[in-house]
Amino acid sequence: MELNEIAKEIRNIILTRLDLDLDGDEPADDASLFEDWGIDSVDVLDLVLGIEQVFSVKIKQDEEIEKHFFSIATLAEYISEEMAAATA
Amino acid sequence: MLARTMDEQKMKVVITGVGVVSPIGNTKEQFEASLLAGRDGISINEFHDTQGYRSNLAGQVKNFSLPKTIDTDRVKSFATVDQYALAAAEEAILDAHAMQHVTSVRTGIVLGSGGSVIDIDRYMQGSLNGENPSARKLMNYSPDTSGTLIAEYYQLHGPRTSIMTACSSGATAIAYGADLIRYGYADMMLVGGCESLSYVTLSGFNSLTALATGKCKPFDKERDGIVLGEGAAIMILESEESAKKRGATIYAELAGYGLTADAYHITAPHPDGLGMSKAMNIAMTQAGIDKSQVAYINAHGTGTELNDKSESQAIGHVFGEHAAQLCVSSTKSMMGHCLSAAGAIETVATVLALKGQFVPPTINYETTDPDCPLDYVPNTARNLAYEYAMSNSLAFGGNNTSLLLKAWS
Repeated sequence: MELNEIAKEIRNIILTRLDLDLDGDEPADDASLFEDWGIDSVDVLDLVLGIEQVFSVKIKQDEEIEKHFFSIATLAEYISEEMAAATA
Repeated sequence: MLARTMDEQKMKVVITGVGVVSPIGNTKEQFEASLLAGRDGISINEFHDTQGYRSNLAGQVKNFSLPKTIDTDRVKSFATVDQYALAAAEEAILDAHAMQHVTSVRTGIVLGSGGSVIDIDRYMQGSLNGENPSARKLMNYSPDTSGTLIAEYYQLHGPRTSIMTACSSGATAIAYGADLIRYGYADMMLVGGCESLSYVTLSGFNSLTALATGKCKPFDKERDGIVLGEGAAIMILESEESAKKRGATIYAELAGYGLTADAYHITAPHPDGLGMSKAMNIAMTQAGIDKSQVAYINAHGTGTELNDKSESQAIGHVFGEHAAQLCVSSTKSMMGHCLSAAGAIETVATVLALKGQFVPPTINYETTDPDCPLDYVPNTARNLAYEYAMSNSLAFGGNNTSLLLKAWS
């Protein structure tokens, strides 16, 4: 799967599963999930569930996790790596 | 017996505001009018599919909306049960003219709450249907949430806790809140209870075969169970001194309370009602009154065969010959059993009845049961000049709370 396709899917998961107050303003792929999207720690739970379901990957709870979850772009890269590792 | 200092004994804890959301009215005025009219707030359960269940009835809150004074932007995460509690809190605070006073480290809140079980229902159902429901909704499950949200909304910085003793939660919360004032932890306390309908709760009571097959008929010979209800009630408690300083109108005094445990069975009350008897006696001792001074008891009166019998026996045991002079009614006949909210809603009913000098009826009363020989104020409310009233709650597991109220003059 291409990076931009992954990013599109992540965006879709955010918009359909999380109850965010966006006022019709969708932040860009490189925008901060926490600051610009307004996602909080509870939303992250739903986001992780969605990602694991849609992409069939397991999100690792390690010290890198904050970096992966910075933006849609960083998350897409992380998922892409995990998907590649799974098929390797 | 009840170790109190002289100062603690001297202080009077009074009620200066009430708010209520119930199957018989969403405001204090509607609620009181319904009590006087003996209105039946129980109707066909439109909330759930009751196919195959013992009961298709419920005491549902109707046409509910948050008061116009509420800032709705700040309550987006509120579940139904939290909204009921907030509406009751807003009404109570405005009723007490206390909006300027509540934001304080000297104001706290104690609630009995069932938590938002309906959100767990929906999450499980949605997950089983493959709908990917939001995990955020599960945060409302905790019974402690209602009190937290209200404390945050009004910036209450005083003592805050929750009581989880099932059907007596709302009443026990009132008792505990009063003690927090008495022992100097707060000047003002919001106290009460809240509950909203849920499938899990309905199913649980159905499995116990505790639901009535028809109407809720407390103390009637043909009674066969409870009808579930929902709602919320909150009262503002303060010391007499605090109330007088603010020039607040006083409804009544919480003159005493008793708390006991049957330690008998997880759901059935002790057949002799000993625990409830002790709770009533303790309440009267604390208030320093004789049993002959009590005129009205708002009973737990769920409509089950066991409760109504053992409760009637307990009252007979405690009051002796005076029992025949008592008015004893169950407002659950009109609203159903509002579980964690019941003790609070019923205490508000008792407070309004005491102030209005009337006693609410037990409706749906048709046939006398020799095991229940008292005056249950059948079907029609009555005017009564009286000074002391009692509100009793006997919860699952034998948690007994008796609150004693004194008219204020």
